[in-house]
Amino acid sequence: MTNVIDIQNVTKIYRKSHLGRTQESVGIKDLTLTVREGEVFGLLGLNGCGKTTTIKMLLGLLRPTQGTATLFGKVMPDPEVLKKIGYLPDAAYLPKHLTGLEAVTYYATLSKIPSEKRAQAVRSILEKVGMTAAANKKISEYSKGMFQRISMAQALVHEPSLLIMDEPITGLDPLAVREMRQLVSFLKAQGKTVFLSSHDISEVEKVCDRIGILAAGKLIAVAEQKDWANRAGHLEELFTATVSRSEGIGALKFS
Amino acid sequence: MIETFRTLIAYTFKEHIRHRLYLSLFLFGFILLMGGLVISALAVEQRGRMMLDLGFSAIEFLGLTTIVFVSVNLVLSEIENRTIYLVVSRPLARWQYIVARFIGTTLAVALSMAVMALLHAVLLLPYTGVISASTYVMAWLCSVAKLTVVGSLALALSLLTTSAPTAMTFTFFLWAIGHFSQEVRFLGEKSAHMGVKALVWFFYHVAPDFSYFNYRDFFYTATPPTWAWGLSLGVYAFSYTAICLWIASVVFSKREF
Amino acid sequence: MPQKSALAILAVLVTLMLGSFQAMHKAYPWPYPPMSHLIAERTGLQDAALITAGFRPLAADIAWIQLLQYVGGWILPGEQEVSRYLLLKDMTLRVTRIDPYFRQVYLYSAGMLAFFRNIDRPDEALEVLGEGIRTNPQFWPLRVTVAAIGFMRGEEFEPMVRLLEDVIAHPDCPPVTKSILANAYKAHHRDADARRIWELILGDPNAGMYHDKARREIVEIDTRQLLTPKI
Repeated sequence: MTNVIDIQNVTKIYRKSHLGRTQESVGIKDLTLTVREGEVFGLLGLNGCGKTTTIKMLLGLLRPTQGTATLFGKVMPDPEVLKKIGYLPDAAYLPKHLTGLEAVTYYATLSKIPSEKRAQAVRSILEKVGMTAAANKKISEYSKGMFQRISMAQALVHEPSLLIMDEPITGLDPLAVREMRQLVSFLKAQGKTVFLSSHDISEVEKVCDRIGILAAGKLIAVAEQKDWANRAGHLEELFTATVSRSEGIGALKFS
Repeated sequence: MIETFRTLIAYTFKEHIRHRLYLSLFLFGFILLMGGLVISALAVEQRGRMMLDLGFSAIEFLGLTTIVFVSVNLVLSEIENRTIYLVVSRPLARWQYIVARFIGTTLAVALSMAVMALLHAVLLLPYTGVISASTYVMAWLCSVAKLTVVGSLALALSLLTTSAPTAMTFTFFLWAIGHFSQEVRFLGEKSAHMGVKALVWFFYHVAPDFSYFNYRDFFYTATPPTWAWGLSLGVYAFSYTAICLWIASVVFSKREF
Repeated sequence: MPQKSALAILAVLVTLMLGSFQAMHKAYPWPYPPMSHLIAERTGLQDAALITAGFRPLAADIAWIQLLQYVGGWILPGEQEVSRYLLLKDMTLRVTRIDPYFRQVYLYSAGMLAFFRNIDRPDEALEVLGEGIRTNPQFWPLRVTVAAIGFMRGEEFEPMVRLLEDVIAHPDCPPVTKSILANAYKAHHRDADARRIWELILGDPNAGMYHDKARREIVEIDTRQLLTPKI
């Protein structure tokens, strides 16, 4: 089975210059990680550990300071590879002046869906995310749930081979969380590859084939489903054993 | 590529037309034009000329404020509200994004200027002989060309400085310098110092020469400009704009999000 | 885009830009005087600011309005002899140094400077007209007005009015020149000619300021003719 994602010794250092002084902070340190075709991979970690940094490097939004990140064998960003990727960010960053329909059509065009197939693809995805009725309303009038649905639509309209999701269930109600889980299962059944980040262990263990645990920019552990399947709480134990807070705050002391 | 351009241009055009600020500025320009009706009465027998000049100035002022504000915020606002993520994670070249967004912006501003120009032309109807239709159109086109250059400068500066107020300040400064270029040349000619002459030569050629876009300034002169001037002006406007967009594209292509 | 291609494109664009810049200036040399020629006293900052902002014609129009306000009785601080309009020449040159092609201003002010009895400064009128002729050599009414002033000084009425008749026939002739000619005819008891000129003024929509005077003058002439016994 081929590797869809291949991250080799990637380090990302953020540099901020101000009045002649440069401040450096490490986003990711020596990350090596592969994701196979058809796999659902979950990247677990606390806030600020480097999950979003990793995702942004996969998409070409950030460039590694060292190492390489390749998708489908090409160093990112590569336009041909980007056609095969769908990106669902942690929040719905959608243009508020457009209607839902206009927005999905806009992203469908940018994703290079041929014009003869575009209208049908847009109609189909809006139906699948349950937004046909609200498609002609301006995004500025949408509720949070509707934002999420349109965000999902733009990520899936071009039927990507790889879906990258950044904290897809943060802020969702239980019904929406279940629907998200069903989506991931559906995509897996279609043979798609899914790479998602989260700090919700219970959800990750339900959908992922493998997980990686990030802490302070380093990949601390990788576990396969067989490691936690039928062993309730094992993933949480593994997580709490390997991860410590790096946010500069202490643990709660209410025991 | 054409589809991508068309989509981005349409997206940008809609963004501006639907923005409250665009409508506010347009209304402000409309008020300025109507105010011209009142103020021009002070010019007595030169009322037609004053209506013409006030109207052109109002249209250009409106166009200038609109294009500087929208161009400076064109990419910066998408970066700030992170809608840029869903665009640059797609298979399009960053220069395509910059050029198409800029074209959409220029079209939106040109539309508002065209509507104002139509109203202005109606107000000028009682003043026959003050200007011919072809001269008016030429003057309007030169104004649009000038603002296209200004817009591209504003866009490039916004990406270089990453600060909207700084970019706006520098753009307005260059607007003033651009109208001052003949004075700069005159000062350079008067100076005997080689260093001053070199500096003047640099500023004279590098800063945009906006004074030459004011076709309105030329049509009463003894010999109005010829088609050769018009062609050179067109090439100048195009190449200067393209250079600014080139800079903007290069900066944007290296940008991380 | 590969770096070499990008740099090549930039090089082509810069060459185009510099080449067209030179061609533009060669095809049409800059027709305006430098800002050091502006009449800077009192209003220099206003004029320079508007020119720097790219609104030269508007700057000239505002200066023109201020000239009209001055002529209309708005007193500038410090001026002693109000009815002699001592600053008329300077205020005129202020307008024309901003826009040397604002031709009507030369005729307007030269007419007042030369032909208004309370002003009577033909030398200043000739100075204004001289500047106008230098920048607008094709605008013949200026030269003709110079000649008319010459005839006026030599008290040669007929040649002077013939020349002024040519000037008022030009579409750019300001109404003040027409009223000067009408008053000249009146002073020489040429009522029929004076009436004709006042009627011209009455029919000129740009001469609104003179319409009341024109009506009064026509009534006066008609009354005089009625009362004059016919032999």
